Amino acid sequence: GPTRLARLPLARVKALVKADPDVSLASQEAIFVLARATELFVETIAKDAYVYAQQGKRKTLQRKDLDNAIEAIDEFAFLE
Amino acid sequence: MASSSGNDDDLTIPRAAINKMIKETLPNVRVANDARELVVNCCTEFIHLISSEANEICNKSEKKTISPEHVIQALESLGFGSYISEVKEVLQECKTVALKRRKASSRLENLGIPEEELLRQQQELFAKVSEQ
Repeated sequence: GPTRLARLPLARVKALVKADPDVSLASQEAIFVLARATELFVETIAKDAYVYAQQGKRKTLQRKDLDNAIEAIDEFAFLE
Repeated sequence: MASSSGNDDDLTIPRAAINKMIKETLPNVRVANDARELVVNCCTEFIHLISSEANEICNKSEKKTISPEHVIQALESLGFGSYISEVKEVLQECKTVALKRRKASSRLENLGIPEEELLRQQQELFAKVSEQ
């Protein structure tokens, strides 16, 4: 696949997981997988939101584009 | 930037990392600052969502530590199954790197003695043999 330059800092992902007192320890590989999934989440939500900017004939992605994507897409319902 | 009070609730993925990812995903698109801010916060929510679900799955298994497989199952059950094939590639990389590291460190352990010393000992032995 294409080379990814941007990556999430693993230590921060780990800190976020640890910050939840109800969540058990996660293995290093689990953190790796979660970090990669989060990168994919960012790519997906950005692309999905951009569709709304295009519909509005704008070249700037605005917050409302993200709000629209969140409302429209089932998997993003947790963000409402 | 305001200095952190150390409160865990302020933890997020760094803005710079998010900005880079957005730039790579939408290279010629301007992105409003409040949109970027929202993406940062959505990431935090996503991480909490997936890790909570993975934790539930882990609790139901006999394991005490959340494994990558638990995270993968969580992605599937929460509607992010499309991420799984790419996520599995990362896992494969992890395992390959870990395997190489284990092999390399076991080789070093087996040596114990630095190479120059081994060479010196070998030369001494050769010298002894040729004296006999």
